[in-house]
Amino acid sequence: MTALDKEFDFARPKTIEQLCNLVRECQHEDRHFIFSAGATDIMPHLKSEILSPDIVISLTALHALNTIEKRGNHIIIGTLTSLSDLSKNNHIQQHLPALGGAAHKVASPQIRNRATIGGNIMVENRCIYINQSRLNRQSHSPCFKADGNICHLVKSIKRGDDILCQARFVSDTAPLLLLQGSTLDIIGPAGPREIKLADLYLNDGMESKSLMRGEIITHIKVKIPENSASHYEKLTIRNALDFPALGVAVLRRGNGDISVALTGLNTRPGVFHATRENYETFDDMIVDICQKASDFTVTYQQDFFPRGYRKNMIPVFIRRGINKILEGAKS
Amino acid sequence: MKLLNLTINGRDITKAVSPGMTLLDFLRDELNLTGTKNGCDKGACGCCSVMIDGKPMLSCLMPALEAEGAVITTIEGIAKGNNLHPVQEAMIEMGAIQCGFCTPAMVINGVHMLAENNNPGNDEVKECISATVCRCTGYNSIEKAMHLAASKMREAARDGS
Repeated sequence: MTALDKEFDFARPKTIEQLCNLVRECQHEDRHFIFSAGATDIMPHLKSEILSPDIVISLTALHALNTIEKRGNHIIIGTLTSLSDLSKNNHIQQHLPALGGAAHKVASPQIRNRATIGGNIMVENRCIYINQSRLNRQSHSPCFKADGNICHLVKSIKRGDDILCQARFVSDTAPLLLLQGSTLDIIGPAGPREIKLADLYLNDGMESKSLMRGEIITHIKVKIPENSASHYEKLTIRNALDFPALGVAVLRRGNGDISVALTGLNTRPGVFHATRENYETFDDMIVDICQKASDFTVTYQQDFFPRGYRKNMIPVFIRRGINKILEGAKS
Repeated sequence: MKLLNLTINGRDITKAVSPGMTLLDFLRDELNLTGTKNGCDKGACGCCSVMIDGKPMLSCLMPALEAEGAVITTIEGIAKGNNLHPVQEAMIEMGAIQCGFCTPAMVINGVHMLAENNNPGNDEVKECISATVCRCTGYNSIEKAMHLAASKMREAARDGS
């Protein structure tokens, strides 16, 4: 018997209105709630008691959010779309094939059938000290993320502006969405709002997203790229299941500008741009953007791969991405 | 406790379950469908795969209450009476069932792959079995079994047409 040790309530609202009412109710009664979509990230957290909510609010009955549409020059992705549906969708294959490829690199086929794109961009930051069994965590002092006062990576006992939780960002789909300048439709008890995806991510591994309590992302709006191509490359030990030890998305615009987004390295994704006209040669531009991306700190050892190796692989993956894009342009 | 209604292996079921119960526990402990295995219990080994609305998913990562209204097929529902599915036959013929612990998940994933494409390439077969951990048979014989099952299904489709 492996049912979750701590009992909690479960609700599955069918409309946004029901959801907002439920959230208001929970806030009024001071009940700790969490949202769950595919639950593939939430369940291990619940089982290991990293999360101990009073109620799990499932979003899976909000069927209106399980759609992908083309509206004008935008693709509108409902956040409950599963990663496997996303990677097979005609609009995505036609206009955002690299995003479909990145979604296909997440975890395993079984997980992609369940996990959602919304869950992937909201995936909880991870650290080798917190994402362990309860027994393992009991063997060391609770860290910042476990309401403790130590970070085992930083070796610090004071949490503050300079020393924040270092749990790292691991979404595979966010880097490409960032490079496309995606925006998010958000709804919550206070009403709807729209933000840029870039504004979602914060620098603290504990509170790594800027959503307010009770808000959910309903849609991701991606402008259909014109005259540009992109590629996502991922470093993992196995092809299946692993979170990225390093993920590099590269976008090349028609005018020769290059943008790069990194995941798996830091508390938030890193995004870098290079404008072609600022460099004498194409290679100068690549050398410079590789340097900028490599300087994006791989601060602490929190993966199977040594941190030096991960850092050294950044320029390799950028060049590999650019080569793939150029090869694609030739064919 | 909350009432859960779903269809498992063609049988409509209504049962009260606690919100903390996973679909895996529901299948094994409440319905005695112990063919679905509990390996790592955290979504890493793939042994708890079941078909939910036609797609393989991990039952250990799914609250049972999320399966409200779902149509689920477990390994117990794959064979038709005494007639094994071609994937099951091929797994036996290729000796791909050594300890049997990963076999239900391998079969579930194989059945889904071959239902979508009965002529899969090597990469597709490897991807299909990649997310289920096998620690004794080894993946080569399972890979061969999937190709054999595919050829059996192609043959059956030719004979039937």
